Amino acid sequence: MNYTKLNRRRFLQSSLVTGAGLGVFGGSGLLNSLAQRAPEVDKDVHYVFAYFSGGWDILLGLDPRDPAQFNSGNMSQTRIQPGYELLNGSDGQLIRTSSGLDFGPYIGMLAQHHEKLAVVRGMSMETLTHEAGRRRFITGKPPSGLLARGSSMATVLAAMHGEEQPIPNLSVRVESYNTDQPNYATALRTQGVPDLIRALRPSDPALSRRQNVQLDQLLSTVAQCPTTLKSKSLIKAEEARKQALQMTTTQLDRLFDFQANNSEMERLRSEFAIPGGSSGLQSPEAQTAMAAQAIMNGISRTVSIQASGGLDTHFNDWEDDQGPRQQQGFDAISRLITKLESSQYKDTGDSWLDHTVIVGFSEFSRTPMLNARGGRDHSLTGACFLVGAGIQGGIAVGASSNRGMEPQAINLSTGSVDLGGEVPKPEHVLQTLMFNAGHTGDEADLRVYPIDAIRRG
Amino acid sequence: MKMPRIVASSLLSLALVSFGCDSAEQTSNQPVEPKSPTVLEVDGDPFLGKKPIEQGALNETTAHHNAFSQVSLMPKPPVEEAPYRNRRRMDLDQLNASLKTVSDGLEWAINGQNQFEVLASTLGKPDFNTITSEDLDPSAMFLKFLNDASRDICFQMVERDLQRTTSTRVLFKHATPEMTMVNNANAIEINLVYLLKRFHGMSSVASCDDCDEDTPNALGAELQQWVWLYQAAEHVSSSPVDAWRTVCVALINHPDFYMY
Repeated sequence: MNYTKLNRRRFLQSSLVTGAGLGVFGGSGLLNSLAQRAPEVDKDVHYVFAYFSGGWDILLGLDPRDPAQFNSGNMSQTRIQPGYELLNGSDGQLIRTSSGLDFGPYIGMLAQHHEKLAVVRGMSMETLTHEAGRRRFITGKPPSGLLARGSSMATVLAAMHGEEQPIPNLSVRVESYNTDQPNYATALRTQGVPDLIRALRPSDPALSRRQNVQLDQLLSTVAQCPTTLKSKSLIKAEEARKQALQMTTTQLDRLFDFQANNSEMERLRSEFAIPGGSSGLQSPEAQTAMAAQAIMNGISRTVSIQASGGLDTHFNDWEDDQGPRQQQGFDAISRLITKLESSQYKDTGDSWLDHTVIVGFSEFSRTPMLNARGGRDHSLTGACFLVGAGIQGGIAVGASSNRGMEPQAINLSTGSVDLGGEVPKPEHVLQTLMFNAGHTGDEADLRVYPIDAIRRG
Repeated sequence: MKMPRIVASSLLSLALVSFGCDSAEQTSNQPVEPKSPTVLEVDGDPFLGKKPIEQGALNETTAHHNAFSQVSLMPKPPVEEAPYRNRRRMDLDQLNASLKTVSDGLEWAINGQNQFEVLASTLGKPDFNTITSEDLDPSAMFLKFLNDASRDICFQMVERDLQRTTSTRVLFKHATPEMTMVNNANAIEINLVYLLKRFHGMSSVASCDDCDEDTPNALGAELQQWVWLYQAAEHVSSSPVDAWRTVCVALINHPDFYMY
């Protein structure tokens, strides 16, 4: 499928034409018929957004370079210094897969899933600021300064799929925004699994059941007063109170108590390699286990986790920490993929992975040349990976340039570099999710087309 | 004959519904007709050369292009409402300080650790590393932990008050733990008035300086909700102490406490 470039001017032009057309052909009547013909929303898709915090070095993972071609001998021309020989604790070998996807030395167990992975390379994050890059990917819109604009894609997707789940949108250590979506889609945000468990437990010390009912009756009655109904924040507070109440009455905490001494938790600890000790529940492994539990038990539609942190390695900590920290996140995601793939989805014969999309991202990447301190600074070039429902596997679309690893325009249909195409950005990736879910009317106001090359079918 | 508890509870619930809001604020079920936009009639049509429109008239409301069409240039005015300020949620420091103030020095702590500090990042407090502004959403997470805090503080308050002399009590200031709705309804209501002022700053109901035997008749629907809660809680627990605990928890979980 070929698309023309959709910039702001074209977008407005097409809106005017559409508006005029609607006026001529009967306005709402046509709208209704268009709505009826719109693809059905796939209610069975779930989403995991895995954030690698701090800015990952894509040379070590998603966008490697062969040291035989890029080395100290020619780095003054290529402006690319893989530096694999400087890494402590790695042989610096590229990981080559049968599907043709190559990865850096720290891709870890994620490489095992190469046939299911789609990697988007040569993206432009258009910023060198952590907050701006992170918020750009979360919302699909460039922030205003540091201020996020619009709602998180996780929020939008949770809203579009309805409020059947007790916690439609769950977010651990990842920012979330809701500026224009229903309150039920607002993320339940927590800084770790322990706080989530605590939030899901009934309040303590306890009042009697009947006193709790009376308390609820009083607060519900207050919420129906006209003064309350005039205030958006009071309405929001009441909905949040009810959500909190619902969360604590269904004993959901047991699903996330990974350190509990029972066979189910023992199995999960083993499957996700959750470390012991007090910090174990804060680990990426525990977060991915939480994501699996939340999705597979029908608790959440979208889950955001911090798969890795501490990647802002400007100094010689790059040699020691950047790679292993990335790999910890990749390994955790790999275990999540394995779990979802091996679990049957509601007696359908499908796997949970057929109904879940995982998106791995970071705010930007790091400079292809090492700095004078042996680290890497911020680079606006980005990359991300997707796996799961509706995603074409075993494919890398786009490419950073072979001089300075700069973003390059691609043909969104084929995924190959094309100077007449568009530079892929986070909004293209998020629009792909929207299209895959049947939302083709730019409901999230992303103003771009999806990357068809990574859409299955 | 003694009324069964479940029937009495149901009657109490009905009572709550009946005086849930101030009667002056009740929303009418009748749909409100939006006012039609004011149309300024302009005689004549400039294009027909009958009578020129004065400078600025077009900007005001309407224009006639000809005798058969009339276009309003002004949007429909919104339905008028009384001015209303949207509420803001307290930040964690304010909440912690408020709880200390209303409880006369108690804080939500487990093993000596203030729980608002332990939960600071989950509750959206900035760390000035990745988060630079506090999330003041009245989120489900915030309300869950506010509920936890309220129970902890209220149970502490009750225990401490039971040890204190009457003059230094905070929760049982105007009603002793032995008083009930049956044997001293007036004292219960006076204490509720005092607590509403202490927790919510409610000055619209009579303050305790004004409390006397006639006070209950002078109180509004706001107080009646709290009388209902006390009465219902006392009814199901048969314990004034439990009832005051319930009232205390409700006072903290009420938006008038944590939003301003």
